[in-house]
Formats: sequence, C-alpha cells, structure tokens
Amino acid sequence: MIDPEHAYDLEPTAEADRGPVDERPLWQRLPKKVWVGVGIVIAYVLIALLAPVLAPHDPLAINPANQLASPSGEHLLGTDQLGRDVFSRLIHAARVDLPIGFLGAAFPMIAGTILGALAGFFGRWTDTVIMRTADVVQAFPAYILVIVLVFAMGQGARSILVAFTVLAWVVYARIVRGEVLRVRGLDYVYAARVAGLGRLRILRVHVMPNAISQTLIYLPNDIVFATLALASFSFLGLGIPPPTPEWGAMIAEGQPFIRTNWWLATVPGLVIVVFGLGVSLIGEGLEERLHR
Amino acid sequence: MSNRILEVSDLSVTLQRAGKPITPVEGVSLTVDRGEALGIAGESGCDKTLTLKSIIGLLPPGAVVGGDLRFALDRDEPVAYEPAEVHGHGISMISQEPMTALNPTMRVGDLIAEGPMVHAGLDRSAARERAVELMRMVGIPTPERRARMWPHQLSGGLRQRVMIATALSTEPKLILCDEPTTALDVSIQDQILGLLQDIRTRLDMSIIFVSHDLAVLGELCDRIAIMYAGQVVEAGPVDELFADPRHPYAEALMHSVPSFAETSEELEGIEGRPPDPGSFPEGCRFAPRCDYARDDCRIASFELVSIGPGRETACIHPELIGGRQR
Repeated sequence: MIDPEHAYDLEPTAEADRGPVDERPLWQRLPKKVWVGVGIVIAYVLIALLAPVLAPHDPLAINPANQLASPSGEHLLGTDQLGRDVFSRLIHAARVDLPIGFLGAAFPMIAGTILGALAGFFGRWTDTVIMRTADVVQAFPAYILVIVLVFAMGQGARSILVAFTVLAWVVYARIVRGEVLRVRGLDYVYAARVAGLGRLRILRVHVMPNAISQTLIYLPNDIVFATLALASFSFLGLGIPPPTPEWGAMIAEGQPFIRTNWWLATVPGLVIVVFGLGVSLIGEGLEERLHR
Repeated sequence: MSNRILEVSDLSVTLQRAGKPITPVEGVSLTVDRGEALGIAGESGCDKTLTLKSIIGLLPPGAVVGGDLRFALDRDEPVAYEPAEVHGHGISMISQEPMTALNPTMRVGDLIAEGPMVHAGLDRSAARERAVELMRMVGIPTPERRARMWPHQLSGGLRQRVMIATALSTEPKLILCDEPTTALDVSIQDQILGLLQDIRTRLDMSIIFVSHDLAVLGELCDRIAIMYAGQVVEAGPVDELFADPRHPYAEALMHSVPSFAETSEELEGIEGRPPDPGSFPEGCRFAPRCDYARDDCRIASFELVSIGPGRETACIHPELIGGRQR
C-alpha cells in the first residue's frame, strides 16, 4: 500500500537556503561613500548650529566705508557691495538653506508617503482621487506653480515650503503606492489578514515598514533638489527676502562683480555644490546597499 | 451535536481575465469533521489553492464566489459565515513559501505575539511569553533566543515552524495548509508533517491539506478529495481511495507515483496537461486525456455521486477502471 518512504521525490524540492547573515557592525556594512557624505552633512549642520560663535562679524552689519573689499585677515572672503562680511554671511546662510533643504524634502515625503500608502492600500475611489490629483499637479510646469504660490502667499520660507510640499509629494506618492501594491500581495500580508488583524494595523506594521525603503533612497535626491530650488528662487528674487543671508541670493548679489570680485558669486556656489555632493553620496551609498 | 466543522457546497469562483469571465473553480463540495484531516490533491493548475483561498476570503479583487460556505466555531451546526468573521477566530492558514510568509521587518517573537495581543487581549510581555510557549510547542530549540531573531536569520524549516506557531497563535479549530512542505528539503518535510500530525491530535484540530504529493497526503490525511480542472472528481477515505480509485484521473495520478506503481520501472505520466479555465471541454473535463473515455463522456453533465460509504466519484463509467490495457 502506501509507502511514503519511497515516494518523496515526486517534484524537485529545493531547500530554502538561509540568506547570508551580515554580522558586521553598521559602519562596516554601509559603503564608505555614505560616511564621507555623512561627514560633510554633519559639518554643515555643525556650522549652521554654531554660526553665531563661528562667524567673525555680524552678517547684517553694513559698512559703507569698506565696500567690495578683497579677502584679508579681517574679512576672509572680503566684503560685498554693502560692506558686509561675506564669510560671516556664508556661515549664517546655512541656518536658512539647511532647514529649508531638509524640511522641503521631509514635508513632501511625509505627505506623499501617507497619500501613496492610502491610495495603494485602500484602492478604489481613494486611489482614484489621490492619483488623479497627482496627475493634475504633475501636469503643471513646476516652477510656474511655485512662482504662483509665492505670489499668492508672499515671499518667505513658509511659502517656499508649502510650494515644495504641494509639488513634490507626487513623486513620493507614486513610489509608495507602487511598493504598497507589491507588498500588499505578499504572503505575510495575507497571513496577517487571516490572523484577523485590523486593516490599519496591517498597513502600519506589515506593509509600510516593507514599502518605504525606496523613499529613503529618493529622499537625499530630494534634499539636493530642495536646496538647489531654494537657491534658484532666491537668485530670481522669489525666495528669502533680503537682507537675510542665503546662498542663492548671495550668488545673485555677487553676479555683477564676477569680473573683479569673482569669489562673491563663486564661493556660495561651491558651498552649495559641496553640500549637494555630501547628500548625494549618502543617497547613492544607501541605494547600492539596498539594491544589492 | 454535529461533528461537522466545515461544509462547502457547490462552491464556484469566477474571475475576470482580459475582460472575459472565467470560472476556474466550479461545483466544489467538501466537508471536514472535527479533528479530521482532509487532503486535496491534483496537478498544478487545478486551482486547489484558489479553492482554499475562497474558503478564507483571500481572493483577488473582482472575484465572485458562488455557493455555500458554512463553518462551526463554537456552535453545534455549521453556519454561513463571512471570511472576516473567521479571520483570527477559528480558521488559520499556512502557506507554501516560508521565505515570503514572514514579515522581514519583524522579529519572529513579535510576529507570533501579534495574534495573542490583538485577539486574547494580552499585554506585550504576556504575549511575548505566549509566543515563546508556542515556539516551544512547534519544536523550535531555544525559543527564548530565537524569538528575538529576524526571519532571515532562520533556516527554511525553522521559518516553517514559526509560520505554524503564528497560525496556532489565534487558537484555530481548522488550519488550511497550502503545500506547506513543498519548498522544504525532504528530511525537513518529514519533520514538519510529523509536527502537523502531532499538533492536530494534541489540539484536536481539523486540517485541510493541499498538495500535489499523494504520498504526503497519505501520511497525514484521513480523507482525500481529488481535484481536476476546478472540480472535485473523486473523494473518499485515504486507504480505500488509494487501493481502489474510482475515477480515471485519480487512478492515473497514482500510477505516476513510485510507491503506487506495481513495479518501480512502470511509472506512467499523464499525457497532456489540465485544461485552461478559459476553455474547459464540454462534458467530463478529463475525457480528452482519459484512456477509458466513451462518447457519452463528452456530453455528461458534472455530478459527484455516492458510490459507497463516504466515497464519491464524478466518473460516469467507474466500472471500467482497472481494466485498462497496459
């Protein structure tokens, strides 16, 4: 009769191998470039936090007697057309550019993640409403939308952040929605449903932790984008109103003197580039790690 | 008090495929008694899994379920239910792939503790203790230590045990098993089957076990239902059905398994493959592949008829079986 001992190999069975467990500490598991990037970003953050201590001069103090001075021991990067110390202004500008760069990426990420998760998880009309709204936002030319919003709400950091959030949530929503749709069909989500867990608990505990890694990879890109966009808008006179020091505005102010005092526009530009590089290195390193 | 725990009658599942409705599962009737293990066998593509998923309401959006599903949790008689009512209350499921069935972002102890926390109202530490208890029950060595591990740190066999512990954590009366040993290597397979058998007798649970592997079903189950092309074509107690199949498909399946063939050299495959749900043949769906098929087979309407105590077949010429020329 039945003799299971001799009847096992009906179909090839593969032992589900245990994935190699990386026992190295975190700092060794991430690529080196991540730590270079982290170092750069931490340096910028420290400079922003310690600006009042580090800056040799008041960044707003005007000195009509000492306009457009060349670099010297007193003024490391010289002075601008109003006689303000450029070095001090660069340092203080970090207190404007960094928070807007970080928040200008974080707000869209939060909004987009929540909306994308709802769209993907609940589907039906929730999905339709959210994703069609996303289509509408994306159909607008981005910069024009920012300009309109800034005109409507008045110049300043608040308007810029609102504008970025209204615009950039779309990307996060699309990423998260796609990931939620993928994760929603995995066995462990079915298992959670059969276990009778609530829908929101399943979304929070079983779906989201497995759906957000892509947004974390995209976040650094978006920080770079927000920082550059802020600088661009300030350059165009739509960002942070003067006299507050801001890197983009400093480039704009230094532009007329590019032949005689080239550092006025160039150094703030380099400062932005190095910050962007640091953030990008983190993003790239995380991507390498997660996509292996 | 009735001994019946699950009654499925005339179950059908209709899906939309490329704009056209298809009905991959049709006219399936099954019953499970308390403490009984029912096996569902059939080739890949006979929609055994779809049948299982419709019992517990895990069908894709747009699927339409017809027929009657009844389950007895604490009642005397099975009553009609909505899938959401039995989730976490009476029915659990164990799926095929131990790799994807565990949430990779949760420590296995916390995963098992979820059911007790949500349903039994235990606080976090009590639920963790319960999780360790369950892990010990399913034979996981050093459960206190392993409860703190991540799924990727466990081997396939241990993961399958964790999945079983999770399924048991809601104290079900019926466990649906969807080929839970297929992805495991044979020695582990045997252990997991032994574990399921042991749990079933200790906790007096019922099991529906879906597999293409007759030997596995024979080891674990009391009764077997053979599925072909979305229909149950034969059902009966394991021993009788194996000794004396009354449907040509059941017989053919057995001839394709080493331990059932008279001599080991005489393994026979079944020509062709199960038909696609979009183009089921008229009459008996197995007729095009059947050695015994007569003309009236191609117009016969489907009906599972009783041919003895507990035995049913859908074949209209069961008397021909066994007389096949070899």
